[in-house]
Amino acid sequence: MPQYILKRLLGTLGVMFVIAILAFFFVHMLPGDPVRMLAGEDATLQEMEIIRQKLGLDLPLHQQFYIFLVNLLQLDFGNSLISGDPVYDVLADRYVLTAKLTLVCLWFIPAGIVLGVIAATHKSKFLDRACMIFSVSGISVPEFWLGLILIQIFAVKLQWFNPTGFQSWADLTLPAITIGMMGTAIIARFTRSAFLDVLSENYIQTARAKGVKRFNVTYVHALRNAMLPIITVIGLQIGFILSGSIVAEAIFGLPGLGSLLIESVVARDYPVVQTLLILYSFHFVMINFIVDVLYTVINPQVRLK
Amino acid sequence: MNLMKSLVLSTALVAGIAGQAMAETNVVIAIESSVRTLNPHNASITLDMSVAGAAYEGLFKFNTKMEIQPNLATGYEVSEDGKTYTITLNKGIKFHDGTDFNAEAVKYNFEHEIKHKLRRASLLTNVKEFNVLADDKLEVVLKEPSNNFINSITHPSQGMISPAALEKYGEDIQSNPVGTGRFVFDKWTRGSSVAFTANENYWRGPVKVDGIEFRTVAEAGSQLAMLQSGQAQFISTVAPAMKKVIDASPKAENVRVPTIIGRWYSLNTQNEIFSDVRVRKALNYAFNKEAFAKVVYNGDAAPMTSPIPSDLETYAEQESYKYDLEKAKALLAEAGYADGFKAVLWSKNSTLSLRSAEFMQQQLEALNIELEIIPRDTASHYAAGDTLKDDPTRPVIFDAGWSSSTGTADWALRPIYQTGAGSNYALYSNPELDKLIAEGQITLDPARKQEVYGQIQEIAWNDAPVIYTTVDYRTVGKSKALKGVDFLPDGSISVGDVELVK
Repeated sequence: MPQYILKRLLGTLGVMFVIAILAFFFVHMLPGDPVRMLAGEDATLQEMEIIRQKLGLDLPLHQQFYIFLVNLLQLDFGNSLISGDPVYDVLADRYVLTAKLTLVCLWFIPAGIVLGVIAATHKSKFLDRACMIFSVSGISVPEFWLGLILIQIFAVKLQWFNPTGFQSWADLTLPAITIGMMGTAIIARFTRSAFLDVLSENYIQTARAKGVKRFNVTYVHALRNAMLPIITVIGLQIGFILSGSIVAEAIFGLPGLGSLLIESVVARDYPVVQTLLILYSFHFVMINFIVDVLYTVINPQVRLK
Repeated sequence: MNLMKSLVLSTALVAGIAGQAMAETNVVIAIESSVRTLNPHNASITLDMSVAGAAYEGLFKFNTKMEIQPNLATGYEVSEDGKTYTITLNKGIKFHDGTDFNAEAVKYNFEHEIKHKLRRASLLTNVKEFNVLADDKLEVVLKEPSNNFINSITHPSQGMISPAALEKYGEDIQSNPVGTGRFVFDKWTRGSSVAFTANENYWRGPVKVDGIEFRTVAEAGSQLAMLQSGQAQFISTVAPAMKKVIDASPKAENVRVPTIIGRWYSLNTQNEIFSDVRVRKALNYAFNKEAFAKVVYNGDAAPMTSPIPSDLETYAEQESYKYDLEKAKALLAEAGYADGFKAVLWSKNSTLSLRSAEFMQQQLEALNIELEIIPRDTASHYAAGDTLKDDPTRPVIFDAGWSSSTGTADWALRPIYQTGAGSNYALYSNPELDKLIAEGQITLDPARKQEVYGQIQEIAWNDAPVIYTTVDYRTVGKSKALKGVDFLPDGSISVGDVELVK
């Protein structure tokens, strides 16, 4: 087991390195000029040249790449072209906020699983239909619509929450509902189908025939086996939420990673965009890694292969 | 028992009233994008200068009609040759950190800007030297005579920063503003908010609120919710559909402000088709500006009636290109394009820009002109515009616009119409106009200045290197209780004598 984990971690490093290189070239190949965005629409060509030299953007691309690589190996991601601050500082506060938001959004996991299990165990009955209607709506409702409706009801009419901003954890309630809705819906659907598959297996029939209690059959025998595909989807969802929600951040005035990405792309702030791409990939690589490890915990067969 | 009860009650009541009187009055202003820097001298976005403007004051300021008003300065005198400006300052003003504000401090500010090549030093390129004549008198000697030097230093970027703070913070002054303004910097949460508290020693007298905060909320619907729920007292973005909601609210109101942001579509005059003035005029006649303002801008725009917006100095109304399809067709036929032609329209990709582009496409269809729209995001759009001159024969129509941030006719016309100028996306060149533009810059006699700029506007208008469309109006929302915060025609939010009236 430790050997397996070590091997996977080393592989991860290689993947991250390739991603970093791709991120650099992808970002620098975008059309558009950060200097123009920085200098403003009414800047003269001379002013732009001064800024270009200051930022080192006048160097040939291979030299910029060399500098990027050397810095990267020292885990230095450079300075933002816009604010001049180290990318670390630009990211830090926003990352913390996105992480907090992700944390409160995790309600989607139990909610989705419970809904899915209820639907599966009441297949084709009223509760199943109700859960699936909720789930389909959850997937179809656009985030910006749901967010604005929640604000209008709970912040403007009832005045329970602040419409925007983040001063206390309570302020994250509406964003968490908005963002978590999609995850809940997806997990519910996956859980239902995974569960139905498992429930029709012979060993479940055997367990029932043996006289194991219905609750135990459902939550011990069936759930464990149905978990494998569900965990994968949960991992992906967490990865998406950790990337920051562009829409929810715009609606609720939360300065997370999503709005930073948009701002940086619009301004062609190369170092920040690069670092965000690397960070996002890192999330997914790590989540995949954790999911794989969890696989081996849940299903020993995976370990043997 | 009863006595006890009423005692407790009245104590609570008194405490309650006292609590209310002590309650902080904070004004929250919702803005649509994040602040990038709080050093106005180095800002390229008007919004950044507006936010920094809570802490900073310039020597002069614009009022809501873009007229110059004294601020930290009391007035100025110009020498007869237009090369020496003598500015008189208010006495006894101190920066937030206790440093004295005087002529030496002003000199330090301007020289610091120039020395460090800060972005807005471009407004000071004509300056030869600054001489301190007295504590409250600064002499500015220019290289060339100028009739608009005061405009340049009235620009919202030219706030006065404490020299001691500039020394102390260096580049970090951008996140530690220290000025003379009504508000003292408190906290900047990147991407989210900038908060200020009242300046207790403000030189004009007590500040009427406890603090002011600028909060970034990109979504217009959320800004509306902030205004409705009382979380914000001023919102910078009001979407057309939201106006009715605000009108219906007893506590809030819409404020519709004319701007000096002009919009047009540049026609590449180096291209064979667009080099013919008859074609360019035909396109202007074929474009229904009134319908455009109504359909695309929901009424938040007015037709352009001159190459410069009507709120700018020397504005002279021109004979309008009244929508006249027959005249347009006749002009095109005369030029040999009765059957139309093909062209590309380079547009920005915001919703508004795309709607404008589609409107243009439909209008020109009537002339059998086939327009292909190529949308790009802002960065790519201007980068593409900068490459136009490398291959100048393409039939390109370029989505463009301009706001003269110094409020001068010179800065509204020179960058657009002068041969080879930075934003001359029509690649337009007219030696006669170039000569007038150069003359306009150094003409001191007001009557002659008016005449020169009148001629420039007339020539540009009749030569029509662009399809003139509209001047923006902007609607902002505010609480009826809020006084002293204004949206100015140059697109800035001016924080003045802020007050929340009960």
